[in-house]
Amino acid sequence: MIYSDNEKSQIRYARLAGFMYLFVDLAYASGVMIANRFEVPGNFTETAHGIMRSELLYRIGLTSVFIGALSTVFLAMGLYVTVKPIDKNLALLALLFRLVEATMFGLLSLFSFVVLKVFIGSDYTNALGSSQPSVLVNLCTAVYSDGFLVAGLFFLMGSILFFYLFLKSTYLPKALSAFGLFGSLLVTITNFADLLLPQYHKILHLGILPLGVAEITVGLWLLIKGVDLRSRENGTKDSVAAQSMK
Amino acid sequence: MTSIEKSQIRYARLAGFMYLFLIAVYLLGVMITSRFEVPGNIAETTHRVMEHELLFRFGLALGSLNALCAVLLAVSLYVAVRVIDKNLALLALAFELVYAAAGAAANLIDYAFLKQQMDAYSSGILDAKQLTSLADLHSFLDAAAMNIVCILYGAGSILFFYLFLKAKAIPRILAALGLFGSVLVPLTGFAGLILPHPSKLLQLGWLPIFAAEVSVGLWLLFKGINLRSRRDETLS
Repeated sequence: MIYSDNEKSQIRYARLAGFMYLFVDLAYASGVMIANRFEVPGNFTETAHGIMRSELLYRIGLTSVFIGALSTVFLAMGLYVTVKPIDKNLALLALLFRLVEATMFGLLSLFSFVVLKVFIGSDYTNALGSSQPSVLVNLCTAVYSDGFLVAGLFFLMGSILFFYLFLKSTYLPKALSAFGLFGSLLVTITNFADLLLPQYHKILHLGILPLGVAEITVGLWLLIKGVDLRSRENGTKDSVAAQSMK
Repeated sequence: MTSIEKSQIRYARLAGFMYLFLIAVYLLGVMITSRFEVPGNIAETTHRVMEHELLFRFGLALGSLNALCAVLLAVSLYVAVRVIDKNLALLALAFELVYAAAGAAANLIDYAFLKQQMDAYSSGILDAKQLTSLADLHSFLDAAAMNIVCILYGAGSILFFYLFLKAKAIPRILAALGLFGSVLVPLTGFAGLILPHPSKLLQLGWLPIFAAEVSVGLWLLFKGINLRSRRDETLS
């Protein structure tokens, strides 16, 4: 099979997108896992002591989340170039949604550094007393977690569009694209529900599982198998043949 | 010369001007705001700011102007290098747009803290210790924001200088210096985020990109970009 330069570039970017799906998920997951390890629920002092003991590790966790946000730009670009031939305008719209997502997640990571500063700054306890710094931490954590949900909506709009274009294209097995689309729609619903009914956060958070599985599977598929351009080519030939028959 | 090439050269000259303009605006903003600082004395700093609030706000507004003009720089660089590799140029543009948005949002933090600090000082609602904590939090947040936006800026800059180097659109030594300087920027930013007590020597990491941007800015403004080598490559 001989590919044109554009097709070769499309395949390269699809592999980049596959790698970045895995990398972004890994960066977010490891960052959140590291940061959560330090959390002692309801005990500000104990959490602060834990962070002070291993500040470098905590900072690596926060930076890892930021790297996830930064890498989203590479992921979005890889997906954009891959699906652009299907529908240029929808692909651009999806790219823009994901760029807004990257900006918002990048800014949100600032709040996590504010929380760090309050935890490690003993001057806050001197200046604000022993209980008030925890109020500041709670406020920043609330901004951070609600911000995650709002920024997540931009991510989901982009994700829905990219999976829709994959479904339309036959670049990926249909089942995989449909699963990704279903996962993205499900998280959109659970994200909105989480904003409205925060008391059910733990249950609603499970809604991310199908999309997580879909992203890892699609990531591996794109990285190892790339995209199937032949079926698109055949599809184009079929439609041209059908038109000439008419 | 085709109309596309003419427009490419025009945008390259605009990019050269914007490089120099942005550096001037940034330095002027920092010079103005740092004049108000009295190290270790937040009450005196706030007092000075309140005395010349307009000038201080002008310094902050230059930060907003910087973010705004970063979009113009990004688009002009994009048009100048788009013909070399459309996708990489778009990726670089995407990074620079995210940088501009994040930079503008980080600038908002300065306005918010200014208001909070002046209110707290004039009403006496916070004592000296609390006021110092607030200022301390502000400078910490400012440093983290600076590191984050610089990482984003560096990512776009790496790609633009790589494209200049690939196409031989400007002298290779300038493009290589720009590329080297751009790689140092995110490294400095990450070190600032990760290390609990970053060394002051890290600031030296900005020097190569500063030198590269001034020289490339002047080159693009006066000499434009070299389209011949690109044309020869296409013909061969």
